[in-house]
Amino acid sequence: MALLSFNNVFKVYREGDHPVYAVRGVNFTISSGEFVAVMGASGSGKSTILNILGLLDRPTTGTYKLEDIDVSSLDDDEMSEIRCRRIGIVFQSFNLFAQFSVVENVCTPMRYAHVPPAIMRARAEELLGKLGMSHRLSHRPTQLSGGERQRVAIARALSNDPPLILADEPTGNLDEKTGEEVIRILTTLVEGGRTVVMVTHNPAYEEIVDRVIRLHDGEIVEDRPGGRGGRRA
Amino acid sequence: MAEEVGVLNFLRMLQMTLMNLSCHAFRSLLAALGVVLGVGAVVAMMAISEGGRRESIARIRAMGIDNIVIRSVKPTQEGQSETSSSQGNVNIYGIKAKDTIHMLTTFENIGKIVPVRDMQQRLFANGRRTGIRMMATVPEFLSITFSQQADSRGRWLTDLDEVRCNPICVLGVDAARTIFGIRDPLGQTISVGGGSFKVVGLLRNQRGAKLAGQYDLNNLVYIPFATGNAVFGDLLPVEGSMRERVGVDYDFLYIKVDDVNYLPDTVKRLRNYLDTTRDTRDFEVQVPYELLLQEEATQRVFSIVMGSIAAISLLVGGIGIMNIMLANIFERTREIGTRRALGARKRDILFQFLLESTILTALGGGVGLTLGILIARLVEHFAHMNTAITMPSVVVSLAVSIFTGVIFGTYPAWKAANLDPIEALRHE
Repeated sequence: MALLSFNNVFKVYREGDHPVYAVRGVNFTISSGEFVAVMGASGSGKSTILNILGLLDRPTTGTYKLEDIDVSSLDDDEMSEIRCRRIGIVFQSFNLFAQFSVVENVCTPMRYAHVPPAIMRARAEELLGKLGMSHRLSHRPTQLSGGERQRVAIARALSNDPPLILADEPTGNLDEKTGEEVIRILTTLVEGGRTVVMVTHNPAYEEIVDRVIRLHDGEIVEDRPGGRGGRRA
Repeated sequence: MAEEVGVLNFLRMLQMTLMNLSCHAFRSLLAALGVVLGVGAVVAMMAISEGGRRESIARIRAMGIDNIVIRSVKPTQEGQSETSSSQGNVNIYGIKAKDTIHMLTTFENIGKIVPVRDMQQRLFANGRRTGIRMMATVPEFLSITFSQQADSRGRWLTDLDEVRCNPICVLGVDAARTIFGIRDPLGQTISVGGGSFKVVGLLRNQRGAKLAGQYDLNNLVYIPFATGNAVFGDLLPVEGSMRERVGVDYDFLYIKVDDVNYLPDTVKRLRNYLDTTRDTRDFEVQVPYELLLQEEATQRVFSIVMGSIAAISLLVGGIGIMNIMLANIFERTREIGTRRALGARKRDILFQFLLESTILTALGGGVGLTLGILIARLVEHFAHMNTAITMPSVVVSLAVSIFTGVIFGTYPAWKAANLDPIEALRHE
């Protein structure tokens, strides 16, 4: 079942009088429960696609449908609402709030979803427990290791139980072993029915995802099953 | 249920905001300092001015709003009626008994006249001359000046004292304290100018209330009018002069009008009568009602000046807040981007930063208010001035502080809310 689709999506910026094409006529459909790696060199359009997927940006032309809704034409509040409840984003540099505790960080998206405080706290603790962070609930992000911070960031992305997780180089700031641990968590999420779209430079991850979309100069040059896809098939 | 969740979420947000502010406690303190000092200065100045206003209004009210006070004034040298005798120079001037009879018979709006005569005597206490003066007056003086008896064991002057010329006196509470200290003054005798007077009562009036705006009512000694005339005679020695004496029937007249609506007309007629019946100007008419209007007009001017100072200081405070909030937003651009990515709407960001600036100024206002009250108390203690913190001044200063936070926090908050999330996330 298709979770989202890009139909002839273009993203054009203007530099003076010259149009700069960040994304050129991209088409793809991603199903529920798929683990997709978006790969490509710097400037190939990976981040732009991730921004559009995360409703942080809009296509210049073309349509982006998420759960059969054309989200490219929504207003800012509606996009924020979908971003809050249907999409979880994991950043390369974690982007945790240093002034708040681990639990408070995980609670933040739930606050924007108007979840009652008691439920919010219980859910945050449950998620952190599942990710092995129960012993760090009241710690500040600065007191955690890189791997622990990314686990908190994943817990935060999952807090409103979204079907789509977007991960922007989630292992980029981690050592190999910790990176593998994070990938393992993402794989578990996929196994639980969520869709994960991960931007990465690391070719090793081609083997553990269902599908690899490779971009070059704003166009898809390769869209093939990954190693996990092959194994699943 | 939804409302309850809203309230709980708001409280959590408040807590988060305080945590955000506490992360930069020193910077927050500096940001709020303008508001603290502005509100503190305004509250203190308002307290001092209100204290002064109340004191002057009490003083005016003690003279009676429906009263007219006429004071006998020694005329200037050229117009003065002066006779020389072997006993020295005698100055005869001021309001005469015939004037009061005329007033009572021809002025239909005059209901009562209460005379007061300054016996030109200063009292001694512990061998030292004090500022306490002796006044002779009639029983109605108590009610016309809104005075009260301070000791239930004592009494005030009576008609019988007048008839019998009783050698008794009533002391103002401050005079009693000066003369007798901690001893009980009732039943004691004081000797003044050859006469002895038994203390039969104590009088108390509001702090600052003065006889015809001149002498502190609490610092006088009162004797029956007839007793004064009998003991000291018609001519009284002038203080500091061996040869000079004065002959004044009434030093002060309290005139109570029946209908305050006709007060200005009565005053006009009285002035006209007094001007035409004498060659020299030996009187002064005080109208407490007019003084009250003047005081209120002065107060209005003062309020405008105070309001302008308050507005300028809060403007400066507000600009400080805006400056710090803009710096804050620049520093937290990435956080704003992250919040937007996590689902915050523009209005969530706007509200968050508006709440921060408002809490900052509200806290500044609270601290400023405390500072202002403290300054007012110190002024009261060390400068012996009356001060008064009024509820409106407290409410207005806090409301204006909050308003400053909203006004000067809106632009930074709007700027934060309208940041492009992608640009904000890229911000280093």
